[in-house]
Amino acid sequence: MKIVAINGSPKPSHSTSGSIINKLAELMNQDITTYRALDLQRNIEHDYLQKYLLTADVLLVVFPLYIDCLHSALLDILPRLEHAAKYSDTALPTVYAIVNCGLYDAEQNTTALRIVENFCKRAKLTWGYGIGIGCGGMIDGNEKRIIPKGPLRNIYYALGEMSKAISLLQHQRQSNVYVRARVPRFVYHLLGDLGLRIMFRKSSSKVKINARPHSTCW
Amino acid sequence: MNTLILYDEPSRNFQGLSLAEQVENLAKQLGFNARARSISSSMLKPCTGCFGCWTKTPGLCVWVDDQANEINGELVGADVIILISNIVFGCYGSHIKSYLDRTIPDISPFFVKIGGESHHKKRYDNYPHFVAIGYGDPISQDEKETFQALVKRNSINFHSPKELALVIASPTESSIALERLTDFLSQEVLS
Repeated sequence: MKIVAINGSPKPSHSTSGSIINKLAELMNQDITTYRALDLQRNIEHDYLQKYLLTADVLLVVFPLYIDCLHSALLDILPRLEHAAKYSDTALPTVYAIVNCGLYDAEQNTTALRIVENFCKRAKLTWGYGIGIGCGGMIDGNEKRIIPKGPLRNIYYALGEMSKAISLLQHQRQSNVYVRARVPRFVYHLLGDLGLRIMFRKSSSKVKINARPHSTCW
Repeated sequence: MNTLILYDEPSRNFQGLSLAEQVENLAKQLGFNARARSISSSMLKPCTGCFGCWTKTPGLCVWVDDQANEINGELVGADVIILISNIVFGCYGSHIKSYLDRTIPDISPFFVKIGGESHHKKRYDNYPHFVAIGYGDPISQDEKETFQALVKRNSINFHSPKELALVIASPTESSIALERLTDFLSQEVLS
């Protein structure tokens, strides 16, 4: 089975989306060829998308929630992929999507998953299902944190279920799944705020973290 | 009432209509101080998710060689923001989205609970009312509903007092949408 993934994170390395793809590959014991959305933007030829993405059995779209939806680079690629699909003479892949957000609530990914599902309808690709992940900051680009014990076990098991669905070729529409780390909200907020303050201190910034640089521009 | 209108270039000729021009004229007729800007993804670098705008140069994007910081200044000083974008699968098109990705510095990195959900705190005391006009032909019912849900979500995360989502798939719908925009600006924003 040929599985390809689009990594919709704009980060050049150590992205949480990349770590989720790595974890899925590990769970399935299967290579997943991954293309970064920002790289695809530069190689956007119709033939390239057809040859490398649309000939797969499964297309994974994995991305961080960006202003409640998809990063602009990923949004740029999907219509071109839709166009390429129209002229494809091979069987088209089934699409699965995984969105992770830095906010606590997994359900905040709902709209982003609807957008990917709408893309599938337009491109006539089979929509498998999506996973919305909350508390994505706890993965922090490290797939070794996604284990069957501890606060990220919900995420581990959700990825395990998706890997089974893909491996068993259950390529049919299923309900989306929403999971987050098993930590209280106030703890997640506390740790997130603390992490940012540490990053801020390390940056040696000369302005306050709550700075308001824009006074009036009118 | 300072009103920032951000539009993508194709909105200047959607089925023979210049949506950007119509919206700008409407706002000015109502007495709003309207400023319109064309947005294209080629004029803005894509956000790289570095979070430097939260930790290195708080409130400002670390990229200084394009217009994102300047537009952000206009955004946080506006009373109303109006986005005009083609609809792509129920989302904004990549041009307008390339700017929205760069608005992260305008909010605080710290968390707050609003309406039972986690969001980011305000960086500024006030944020503009949020209006988004999506256009395209055809637009499915699912895409229309997705767009409306997205605008609602954006307005919550931008701490906007009020929001309005309008979808235009034909010149007839354009007239209806402009009437609704007129009502919103004159009754909801000015009240």
